[in-house]
Amino acid sequence: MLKIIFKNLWNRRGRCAWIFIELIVVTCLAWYILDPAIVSWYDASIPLGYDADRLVVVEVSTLPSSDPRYDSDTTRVLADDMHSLLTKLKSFGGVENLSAHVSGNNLNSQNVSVDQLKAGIPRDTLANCVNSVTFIPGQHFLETYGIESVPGSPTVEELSARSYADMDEVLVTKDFADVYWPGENAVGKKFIRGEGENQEYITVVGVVGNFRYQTFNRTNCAVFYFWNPTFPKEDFAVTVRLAPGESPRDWADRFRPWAVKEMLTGNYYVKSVTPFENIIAETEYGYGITPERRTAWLLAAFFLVNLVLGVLGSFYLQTRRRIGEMGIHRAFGARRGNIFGMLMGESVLLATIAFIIGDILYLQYALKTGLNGGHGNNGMYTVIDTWVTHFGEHFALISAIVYIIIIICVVIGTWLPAARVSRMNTVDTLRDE
Amino acid sequence: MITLKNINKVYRTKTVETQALENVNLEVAKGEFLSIMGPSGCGKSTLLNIIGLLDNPTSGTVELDGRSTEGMSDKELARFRNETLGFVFQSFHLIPTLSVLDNVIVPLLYRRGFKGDKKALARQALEKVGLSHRMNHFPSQLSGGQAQRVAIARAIVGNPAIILADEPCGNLDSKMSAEIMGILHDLNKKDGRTIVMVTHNEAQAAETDRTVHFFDGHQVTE
Repeated sequence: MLKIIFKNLWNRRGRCAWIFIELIVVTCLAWYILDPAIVSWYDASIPLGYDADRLVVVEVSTLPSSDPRYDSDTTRVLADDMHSLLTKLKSFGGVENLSAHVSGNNLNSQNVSVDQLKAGIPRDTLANCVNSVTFIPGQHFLETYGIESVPGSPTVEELSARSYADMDEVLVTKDFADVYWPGENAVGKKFIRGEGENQEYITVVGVVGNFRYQTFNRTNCAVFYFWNPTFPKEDFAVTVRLAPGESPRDWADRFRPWAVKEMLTGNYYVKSVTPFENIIAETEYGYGITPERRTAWLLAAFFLVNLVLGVLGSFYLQTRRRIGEMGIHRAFGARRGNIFGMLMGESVLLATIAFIIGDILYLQYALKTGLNGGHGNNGMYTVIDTWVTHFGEHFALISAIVYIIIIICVVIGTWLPAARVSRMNTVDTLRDE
Repeated sequence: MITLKNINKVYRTKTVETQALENVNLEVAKGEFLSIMGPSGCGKSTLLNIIGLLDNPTSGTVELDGRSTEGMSDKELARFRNETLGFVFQSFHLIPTLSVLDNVIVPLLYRRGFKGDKKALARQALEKVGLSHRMNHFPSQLSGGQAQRVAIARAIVGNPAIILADEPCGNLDSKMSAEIMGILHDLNKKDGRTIVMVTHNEAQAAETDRTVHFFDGHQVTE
């Protein structure tokens, strides 16, 4: 049967040429359109490493001196005002946990802090870039975001209770620790930060689970916990974890009018209340991810619809034209299954050969220009290791997806007429000859 | 060899009912060369299709080689066609994209448990019809007579006991018709194959062992 399938294809090469070329072009186009869509979908689907549900970010600012409510009492202590404000905020219904931080330093913020580190060992001479997040000790940052510590590290409660007062203590994510001290417990290890006279040692005091700073890249954060002597500032922010069942949007709507009346503390006032999903959306939009993702996905959807209709139509017509030929096979002993198998086999073989050629052609292009890397690592060192950054794996995976999609279209396009032809009365099929 | 009992065939559409065959009873002995004659539309080809298990009768039974075909599944019918029957059609019905040799091999592709040399058998069949020198040609490169000889080679390659020929010379000139009839007579006399042939040509019918006449779906004389 395989021989007759090959012979049919070879002897009908003139008639199959256009559909063959169409499939080669379709393979290259599918690659070009689906690769960015799949990478962007994959990047969006990588777990954040923390619980982004039921989070709200409250931005706090200071009244301008021209504001009639401004308190010009110079004896006020900003830290006291901040703690008082946080106490009020926590008293508002529906708050489960909260953590103050430098404004714009919440996760998924559009601001990115970068630091350069070397391991405090002779062989490490290269300073690696890492995303860093700075938080205020004594707050419940880990609990608020739902970040867990890893085995061998102090618990979340212990880490939150530390003072980090010496500014030379840090927390790191697991992947980050593994890069520097693979297979070892990183707690107690030291990094070198800075160059020359500014060089200083910092000690890892805890290791937490991996989490991503933004939703669209694959960078793992390094977490730095230290007391910022300039804090509290005129502006800061509070990330609030709401109680189960609370909707961030509804909570924000309830909180805003209350905050106007009740949250003015010293000269601090609530400037904005933003559900975390809006923060994510704003950041994605700010980086141009949203339109890019929409374009990639819409293009992919449009392409897939056209692919299905085009390939389906081509194979439908191709198969319908061969009713008489199938009647001859039936007359000489072919069973329905033989007819169905032959038509299906020819279509799948044709599509497979065309796919291989198209895939090889695209490989030449990819070797020159590279495959789609998404938003990758933003130049950071600690990148989540995925297939996207491994050329071989990336090429194999997208090739497999493109092949499966093409084969599904071809199988559907052939299935309907092949099933119909194989069920037709043999006399009727012979009349078609 | 072939026994038809009370065969009726009715074609039905939403508005029209056409009786193609009415109460046909026919027996064909092993090794007999039977011709079926009648005007166009009298049901000759329908009868041949029913004998060839390409079509089902509306009622009645068909026995071939001592076996009733009633209630046979698609698989059984296909196997029976493959092993017992060989078809020669008026318009040859060769597959245009396959070479002469590959066209002749077609019945062997579906022969269950066949382990022999398909090409060798096909070559032998082509030699029998005098076309072994054309085996790598394609149907479009053959004359009508040659194409019909290929069709005969295809019909006999699987060594079927019965050959059904539907106006095998209908598209051929008299010289080619004579050649084809000669081959069919050889297959009947030398190989002992049972042949049922539909024809409009009285001279060709006269050369056969027996002729059955049809008119408006009825078997009128024998």
